[in-house]
Amino acid sequence: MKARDITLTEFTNTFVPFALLVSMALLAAEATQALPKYRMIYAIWASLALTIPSLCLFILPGDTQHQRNYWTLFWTFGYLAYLVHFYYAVFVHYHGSLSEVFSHQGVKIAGPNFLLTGLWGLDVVLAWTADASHRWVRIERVISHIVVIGIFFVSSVVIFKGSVNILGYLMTGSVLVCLAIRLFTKLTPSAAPELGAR
Amino acid sequence: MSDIRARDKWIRAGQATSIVIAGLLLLGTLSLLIAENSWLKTQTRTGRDAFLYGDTGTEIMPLPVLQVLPVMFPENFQPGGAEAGDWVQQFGFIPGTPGVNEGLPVGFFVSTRRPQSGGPSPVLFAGVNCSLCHTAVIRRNDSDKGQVIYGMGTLSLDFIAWVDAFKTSVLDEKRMTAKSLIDTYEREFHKSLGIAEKGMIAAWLLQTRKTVQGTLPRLDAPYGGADLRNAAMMPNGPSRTQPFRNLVRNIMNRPALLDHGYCKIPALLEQEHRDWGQFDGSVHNRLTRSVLAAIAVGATMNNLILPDISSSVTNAIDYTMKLQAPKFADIFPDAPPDSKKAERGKVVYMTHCDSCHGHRQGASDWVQGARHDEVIPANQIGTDRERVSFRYYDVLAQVLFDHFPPGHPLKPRREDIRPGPAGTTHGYINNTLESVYARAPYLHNGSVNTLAELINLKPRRALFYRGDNTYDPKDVGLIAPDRPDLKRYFMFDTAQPGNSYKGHDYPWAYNGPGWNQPELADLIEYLKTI
Repeated sequence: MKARDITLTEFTNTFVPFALLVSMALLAAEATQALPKYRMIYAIWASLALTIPSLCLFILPGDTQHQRNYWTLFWTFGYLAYLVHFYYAVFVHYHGSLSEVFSHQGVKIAGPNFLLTGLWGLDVVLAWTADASHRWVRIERVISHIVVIGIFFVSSVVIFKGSVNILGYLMTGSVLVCLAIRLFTKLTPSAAPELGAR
Repeated sequence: MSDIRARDKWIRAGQATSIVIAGLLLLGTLSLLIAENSWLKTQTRTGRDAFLYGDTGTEIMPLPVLQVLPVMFPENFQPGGAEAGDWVQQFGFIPGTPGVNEGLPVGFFVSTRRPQSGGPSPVLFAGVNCSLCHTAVIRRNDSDKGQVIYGMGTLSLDFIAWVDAFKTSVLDEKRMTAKSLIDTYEREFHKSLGIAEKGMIAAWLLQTRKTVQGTLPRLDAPYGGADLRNAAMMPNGPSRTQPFRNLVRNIMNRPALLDHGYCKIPALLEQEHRDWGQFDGSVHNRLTRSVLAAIAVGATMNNLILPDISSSVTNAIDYTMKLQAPKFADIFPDAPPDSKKAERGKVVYMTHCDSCHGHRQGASDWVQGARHDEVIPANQIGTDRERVSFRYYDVLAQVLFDHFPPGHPLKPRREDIRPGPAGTTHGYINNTLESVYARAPYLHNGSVNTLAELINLKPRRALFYRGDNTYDPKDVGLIAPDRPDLKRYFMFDTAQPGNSYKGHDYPWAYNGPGWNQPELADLIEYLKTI
């Protein structure tokens, strides 16, 4: 199953936050001396904020077309915001030099970041083109969500301190609550669809 | 039903409008990003141009702000009162040329880059580069226009006081607002600023004020007004700096409160003859020296590797490699060296000075002394120790090394900064003396005004006044009055920490054993020729 018949309401409710958050991220950096650095930082905040709803929609039980559409849109816009962050990180902050990225961040951080970029991008493409009823798509989707959650958790809760922690804790809390709901509903007669059905 | 349909219609219209507005905002933002690239106008400068006008990543404030600050805050930028001259004169800058480089004093550059990040800016930013500190004017008297000597350490610039004047003004939230800056600029210069320029000034003020306010608990409030000329509060004074204080502050995040390591601004002449920089010989690589100096004034590891900034820094360094000061006789045609005395003086020099300092050979060569590059312990040479004993002196080199991440193109080699593998002596390095007349005042802390006093031909003075001092070709150095006047306001008390005039009693201590006045009179004539 994939996104289909996206309504104006669905598009509005996802595109408007995306456009506002990305614009704010890019413009707010203008008020700082370190322009590229803050564009990089604020863009990842925007990405995280947009991704939280998609993570919840992915985990929560239910498989309506509405849910699929919202998940696809938030997942896509979250990734687009992430690409803004990626551009400022790799091509501006690290001057497009992979060796600089790896020497500054180390393999342990740079490696997962590049994995995230590739895997998330692949999943966005699959979300729009491939039917999620294929087993390999479901497996890939679960893995990509685990990677996104894991890397966002490490960067927004463990490594960096400050305002980003609010988003980090919000994501962590949301994911845990959604998982709890999913587990709870598994005990009820109307069991949730298999994880990764979207 | 029709009500529901009408409501749905309105909702859809609202949604479509939201999408259009959000889309336009996003489009506008992306257009701004594209437009930003057109703001950037970089230039590759070479030779003297790089030295005088090159961008070294040390942008400080928008040009319109620099231009109106003295108008808005005369109490800070004319601390000696209106009768002591304009801000350029009062802080010892060298006036620029009208129509050249926006008419700014020597040492200011303009660029289309923002401070720190080097991001593009719609409004010109002003910053300071190498030539600010390493250019001087030699004047015989106050009415003398004087001669500009590139590469000579400034004789008059009170930069640290000027920075405090700037910070004090920035902290005045009532009088310095974006609106007041813009209004004053448009009124004084009869030019209007565009929306982007105004926005950038507002953003700069917001960020700069926040930064300065953030330093207050650690560094205390900056001084302003008449305090800027009070040696008790501004102990650096004109023509001096504290070379590693800002690095301790900026990189170690420490106040450096007890740092009395005052240091005269050195000459950058014929740098090809020198291996180690700083009076204590703590930095080897020339690029590292310039990078650390730029970082101390506000450059960052990020903007220093931007191509135009990087090339400006390296080209300015190249310019100083062979840069020579004019010959003494050309500067003072009415007071040329006595050739007979100079000939005899050379013998004295070769006997007592050459092993440490080497000597001139031909027009541009320098024969290094046998003890060239040797760091002499401060206790042995007897000069002030503060420069090599401030808190963190022993750990700063390692901190600086660690500050640059592995693989960073500007990361210094550990053996290029001391204390470290290349030595841990707390002392001063033996170095060359090209155009020694252009290295006044003398000793690392500038506590000795003339060569005659340095070689102990005349007794050294314990208290005098500095500012925009004139030059005495007979004693070879600065004329420093016993009482302050409008131009010489800084009380240089050699009894204060970091100001000691003692030590380096070579060839002989004044009136001490072996003291030979005629030989010293010969020596000073020789020194005028090298």
